[in-house]
Amino acid sequence: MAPLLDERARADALVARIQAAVTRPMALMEVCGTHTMAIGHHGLRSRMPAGLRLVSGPGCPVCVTPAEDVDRAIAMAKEPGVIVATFGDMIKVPGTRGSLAKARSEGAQVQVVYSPLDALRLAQDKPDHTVVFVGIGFETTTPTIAATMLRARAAGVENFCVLPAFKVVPQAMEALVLSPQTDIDGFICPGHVTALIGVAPYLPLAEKYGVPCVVTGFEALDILEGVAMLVEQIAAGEARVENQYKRAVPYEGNPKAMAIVDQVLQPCDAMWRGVGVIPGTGLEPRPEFASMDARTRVPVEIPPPADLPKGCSCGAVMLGLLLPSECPLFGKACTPASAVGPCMVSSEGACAAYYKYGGA
Amino acid sequence: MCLAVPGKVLELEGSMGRVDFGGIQRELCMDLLPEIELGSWVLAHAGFAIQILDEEEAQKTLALFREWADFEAENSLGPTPLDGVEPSGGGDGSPA
Amino acid sequence: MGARILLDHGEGGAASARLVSEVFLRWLGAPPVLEDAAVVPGAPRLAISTDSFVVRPPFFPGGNIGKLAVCGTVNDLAMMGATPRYLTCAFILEEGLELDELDKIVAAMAATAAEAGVTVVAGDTKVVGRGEVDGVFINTTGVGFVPQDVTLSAGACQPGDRVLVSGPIGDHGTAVMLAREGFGIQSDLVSCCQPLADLAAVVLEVAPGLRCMRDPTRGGLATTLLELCEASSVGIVLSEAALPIRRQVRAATDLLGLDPLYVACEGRLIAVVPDHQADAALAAMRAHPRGVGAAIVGAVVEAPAKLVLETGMGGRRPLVALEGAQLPRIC
Repeated sequence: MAPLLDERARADALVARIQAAVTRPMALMEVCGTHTMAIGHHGLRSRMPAGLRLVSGPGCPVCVTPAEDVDRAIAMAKEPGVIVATFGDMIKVPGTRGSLAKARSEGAQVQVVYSPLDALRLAQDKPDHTVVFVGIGFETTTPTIAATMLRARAAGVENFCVLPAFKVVPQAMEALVLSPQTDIDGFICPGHVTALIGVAPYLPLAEKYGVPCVVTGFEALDILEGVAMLVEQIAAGEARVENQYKRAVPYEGNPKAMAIVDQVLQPCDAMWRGVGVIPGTGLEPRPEFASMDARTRVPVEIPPPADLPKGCSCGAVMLGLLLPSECPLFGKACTPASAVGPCMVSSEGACAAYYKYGGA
Repeated sequence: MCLAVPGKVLELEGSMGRVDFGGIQRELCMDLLPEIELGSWVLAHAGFAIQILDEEEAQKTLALFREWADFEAENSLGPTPLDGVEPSGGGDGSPA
Repeated sequence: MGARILLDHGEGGAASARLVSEVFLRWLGAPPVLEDAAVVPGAPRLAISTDSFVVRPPFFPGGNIGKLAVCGTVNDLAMMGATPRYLTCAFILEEGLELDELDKIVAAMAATAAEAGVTVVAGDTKVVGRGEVDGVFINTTGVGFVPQDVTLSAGACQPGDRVLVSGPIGDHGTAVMLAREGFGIQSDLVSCCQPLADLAAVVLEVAPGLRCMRDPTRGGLATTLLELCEASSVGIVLSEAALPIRRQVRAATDLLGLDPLYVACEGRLIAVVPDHQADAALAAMRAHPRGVGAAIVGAVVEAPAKLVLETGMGGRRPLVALEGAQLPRIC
């Protein structure tokens, strides 16, 4: 059987379910930037009924990394004897003045890596340099960096450190629900974050605030099924946490991975670029791992941070208050070629996705 | 925020594993899945295996095990005349 | 445009296009359409093309920079319907380069030139200090002859035409990237790098109404099709289900978060033919050893000049110009 034909039939059936359930206007927030991109990639919006709004949330860890952290990474990269290693996602994000890519073109040592282990290997290969790994990510990524820090410690690698910029998702979702400006009928919950943290952290959203949540995978069929499950709950006046992505998400997530995070990192407040400080949504090295905190290992001076450039509406966009096309800079001063704010620069940002897929 | 891709564990040595992703392979660190077994399917992210995939559940969601047939063997990936005919399904060209 | 050259300016995407128009064309003059090779009047009609090769690593699965340097220019000539005949080659070598490596590169050039039926007739060598270039840079300029009755152009596509591609996309870019970037990915993927003059000749013979051929290199299939939309003021609708993509390319691009539509090919051609000649062109490509896996992947439609992908899920999404390089993502 031709797999694509069968998938297409299943997609059509799910679209029919969605259309049947959306009998009044509904707004769903996809928290995760990877969902934003997947929806655009498969052109799924063009198959949704007119009454259903799919709104992007602040689920792009690159977009919500404060300018200050980018500035710090750039300043570190310019220090002699320091190499800044980073995921490719970060390299073009603008700080207050320029990006890591621009700094690299001016001679700073910046290395794109696929895995934090590559950065550790780099540190082992270059014992006369200090390697700073830019620690961005949500809970899908944080355990990989924490595990790398443990390996560094076990192997006695002293020249490896991490610039902490981790963010934690569920409290951020709670802040969104509590914000008087946002109006979300249901959450498309990030499947891979949940594969690590488990389903339980979303229970208060449904039980306390009455917002249905469906843990959703990233294939087109997963997203369609997740949306169908959500709109059917909303239509029936229900508010539960459901799991569409059972093949990858056991109820308890990955407790071993979360224990590793807990061993190395402790909660702190975090600044979400364009949104503000959300208490308890950050992570930083515990005192016993302070020697791997790049902020103290490579002290640098940074310009007074400007969080978002003037006119930039990334904050409102990330809260789902504005469509990217409603930002005054969108498509004019702010395009992928000359991005003003992080939502346009990041490959996953809501504005970049909107520009690329035209709201498709 | 999380691109993670399914693959099958072919070899294990210490806490590293060789994982196959449909024709390409990569070593993944298994520190986050210490109980992992040979032949399991895992999700790969940033050089680590982050979660085990439930094979039975996966079968129900066809997409995971969608087989793009080996190109050389098939000699073609099935072109699709675009005049209103449904996509013939790139990848297999074979009835089963 | 900023004050410095960024790597993006060399990626064949939107940044490159701006550099070409804002610096080179501004000074050197701009032709009405940017083609793969310049066909100049005179009898016989000459096609001329030039290209520089800086690929890293210089040796990759399926070839090396020498083979690429011949194929790249030969194919640009062939895309204009020319029979490639003569090449020049100019080398800029880094002090400290091993002679052994250079030898292998030049041997590959000779073998590929023989395979393509071209003669290298002129050359130049420069050496610069250690660190001033990366190993070997090669420029080749090629000359070929175009039959009087053949006029192919990116500006000639018309609504109703079909878009064909001669084989699976993204092989070269993926193979080179895996060899270069140390992602730790093992595969047996090889570059699709090969000379295409014989395949191009077959297409031209079987589909005399052929509008245009292009070999999609940097920026991949999508970037080249965008250029055709722009030059012909037409739209193109691409069918995701019809795209030939090898399993390993799909797996590698999935793992790294890249889009195969924008990954370089080298040794593939796109042909835009009138609808009634499409089936014959396809059959001829597939019957040729260099056309294995050829497919009809899209159709030309009326303006506006947009490229749209019909996804396997029944959705549609626009394909836009990449700003610069695609980078591997974890998000």
